[in-house]
Amino acid sequence: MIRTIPIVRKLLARNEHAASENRARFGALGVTCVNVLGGAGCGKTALLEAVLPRLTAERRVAVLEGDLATTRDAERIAALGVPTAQLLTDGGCHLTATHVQHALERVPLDALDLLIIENVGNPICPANFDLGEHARLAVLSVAEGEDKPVKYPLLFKDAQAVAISKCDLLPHLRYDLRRTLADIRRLCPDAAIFTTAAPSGAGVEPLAEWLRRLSAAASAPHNISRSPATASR
Amino acid sequence: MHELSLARHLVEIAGDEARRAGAARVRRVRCRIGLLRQVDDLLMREAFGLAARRTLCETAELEIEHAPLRGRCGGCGRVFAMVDWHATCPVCHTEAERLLGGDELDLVQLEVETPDDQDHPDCA
Repeated sequence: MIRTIPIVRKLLARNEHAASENRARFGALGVTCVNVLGGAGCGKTALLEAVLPRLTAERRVAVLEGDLATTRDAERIAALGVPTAQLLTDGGCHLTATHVQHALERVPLDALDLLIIENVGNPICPANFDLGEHARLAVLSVAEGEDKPVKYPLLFKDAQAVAISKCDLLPHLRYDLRRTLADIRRLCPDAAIFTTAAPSGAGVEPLAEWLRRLSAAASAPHNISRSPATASR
Repeated sequence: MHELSLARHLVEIAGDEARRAGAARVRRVRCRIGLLRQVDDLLMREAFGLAARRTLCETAELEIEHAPLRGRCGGCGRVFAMVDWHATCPVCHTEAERLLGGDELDLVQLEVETPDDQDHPDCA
């Protein structure tokens, strides 16, 4: 007999389950988790190198470094004296909540205020996978071109913050920053937007302040949750 | 290339549902994928074929239903389906202030074959 069964089941339900477990664990320990996403070479690691020294005096921070291959990025972060665990996906183009679950054994989670996950450099795939983070920071460099929010919309749609990096290159580029900002605003009207340049430190302090506030809110446990739009994904 | 990852999840939950229904074989799998997921149909079909090997979905046909991105007009508040990122309200011509939907990623229907002896007598 042939039967048609109507169903509505989320494809990524298993990942979402693991993500909720991670989030519950972070919540119970008062740890804020931020997922940093962006294309390869957009400057995620450089931005973390610039922002982390501004946080470590007041916040206990650790970083999970997601990468396809090599431990180079993790070494750069570890050189700042920040506890770092490498997550190698061996060619996998994104991190999943289960990757993070395993890696949590390698960071001192119960002695942390803030856990930053640097995702695999890729503007498309990682945006599909909730890791259990409380907030997403999307990074986009001006060197990539002004049309990227429209080409990689999911990267921005669930972001609570966006950093436009490498702004020190703007004088050398034909780049309409206003257009990028308008496209980002439409995708994530409530996100904080930072225009940054890691080498000079321009715009890095407002980003550091955003991270401080986010992690202060979490130190009263269960105080933060993701925005409804993100939680329903 | 997140299609393979998505296809594996799809085959897994389709298999769960098919087993729950006592199916011997899945004939058709219908999923709904939002525009923002940036899933390529051709790659998704190939990935589904790979992921379905030696499962109840092995010979199943994959149907992909596309969910559009919608915009909420900043002027009149009307919600409209956007085509090619054209974010201007078709009625009052104001730009959309917010984008809605487009992130769907669901299994929505299965067509399965169940052995005849499982048929409920009342349905015969």
